[in-house]
Amino acid sequence: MSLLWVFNDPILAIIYLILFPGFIFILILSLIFEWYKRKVIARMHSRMGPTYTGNRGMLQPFADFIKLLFKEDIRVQEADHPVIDLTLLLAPAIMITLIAIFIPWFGTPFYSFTGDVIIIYMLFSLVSTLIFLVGWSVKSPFTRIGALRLLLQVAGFDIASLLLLAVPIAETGSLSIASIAGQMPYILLQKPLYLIPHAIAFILFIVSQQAEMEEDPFDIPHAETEIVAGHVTEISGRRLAFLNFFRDLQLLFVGVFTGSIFIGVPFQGIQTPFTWIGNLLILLIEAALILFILFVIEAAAARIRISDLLEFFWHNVIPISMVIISLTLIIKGIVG
Amino acid sequence: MSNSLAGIVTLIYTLVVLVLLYMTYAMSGKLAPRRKEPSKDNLYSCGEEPTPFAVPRTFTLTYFKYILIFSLFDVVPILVILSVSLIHPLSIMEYLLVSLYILVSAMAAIIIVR
Repeated sequence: MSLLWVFNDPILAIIYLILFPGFIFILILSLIFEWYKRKVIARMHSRMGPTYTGNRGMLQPFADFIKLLFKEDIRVQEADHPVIDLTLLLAPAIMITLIAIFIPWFGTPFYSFTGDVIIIYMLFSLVSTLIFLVGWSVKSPFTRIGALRLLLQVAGFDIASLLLLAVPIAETGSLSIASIAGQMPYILLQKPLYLIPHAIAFILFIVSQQAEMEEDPFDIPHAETEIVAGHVTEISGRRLAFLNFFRDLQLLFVGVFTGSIFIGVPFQGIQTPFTWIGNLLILLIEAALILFILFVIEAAAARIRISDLLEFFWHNVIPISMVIISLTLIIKGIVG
Repeated sequence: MSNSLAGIVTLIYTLVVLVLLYMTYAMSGKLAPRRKEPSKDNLYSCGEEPTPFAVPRTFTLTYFKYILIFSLFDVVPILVILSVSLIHPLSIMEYLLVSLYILVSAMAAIIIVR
């Protein structure tokens, strides 16, 4: 069932585009995920985290976003400002669209097609990589080194994460996120042999997503105290607000995408309001649990060197991914 | 209610989001304070004299091989994904071919990197 009935009514269309699940709802959701991240990491560090603004500091990310919007935007002379501005406007816009189209907001995703799992993931990866332009456009040694590190990091994890996507695709035999998400819980329950390669693929995929989000131990491109803030050293004011917002959107995307592909939602295709809400809640809980693992890793791990990252992914994760795909295919041959 | 119409609406959605983000960005630019000061034009350089032209322009040669292999091997996952999605449950030959393909790719990756 398509969601295009929404666009027959202009008022519904405006609500859909701007309020729910449009711009404002995704903005709020991503900022809530930032609050969740700050709380979990603070607890890991034996701190309280945000407490002052809102209930349990829940409004702190909103306050920070607004505060940064009204701070002075310091623009150094030695930089290509239009490129930075364009990158920081396009990156969140594309991320919001990606999140809006594949999540089953009303029981089914807004736009689903064969191959969307590749297209959506590659767009996410491309947009995350494009952030290197923010550093490359400033003639500072810190930003340039950060930008180069970011590109090298992508060369390390990108192939591995794409290969790991092949595991749920092989299990379900589908290239559509909606179809994979709908089948996944039942396949894992009915064919428990898949659980072994699936679990390994899931763990390796979330580790590669940690590298995609440049979080510890893979925060090499913006290594604080080592190269100041790397590729984002000269970013301040509204540009920093937009960059932080983009990071929050990355969090949300990684949570819901990994949840959809590797765990799935049980009521896909059943069209009742109860199942719509159920699917959405299950997906958000899955996202929260997946991100919890990532936050614990982030709080507990120290930064590794770029050469170690490349070695880890090229010498370990890529060969293991190939073996896991082969194992999944063998299991598929046995259990069908 | 076709899928192509959904694609067009997705494009419109992106444009709407882009306009909303631009409005926020522009509004912030108008309302944020601007206090001119010559030191704000300079690059941050930990209290030292800024060196805007002392920036790396080439990749370290040790890492270049990773970039080269990356550009070659980034195609492999897409082919693997497309191959595994097309396998039929009962075709043994398809399993063998795709498994062989994956094995050869893995061996090539390991040999080149080491």
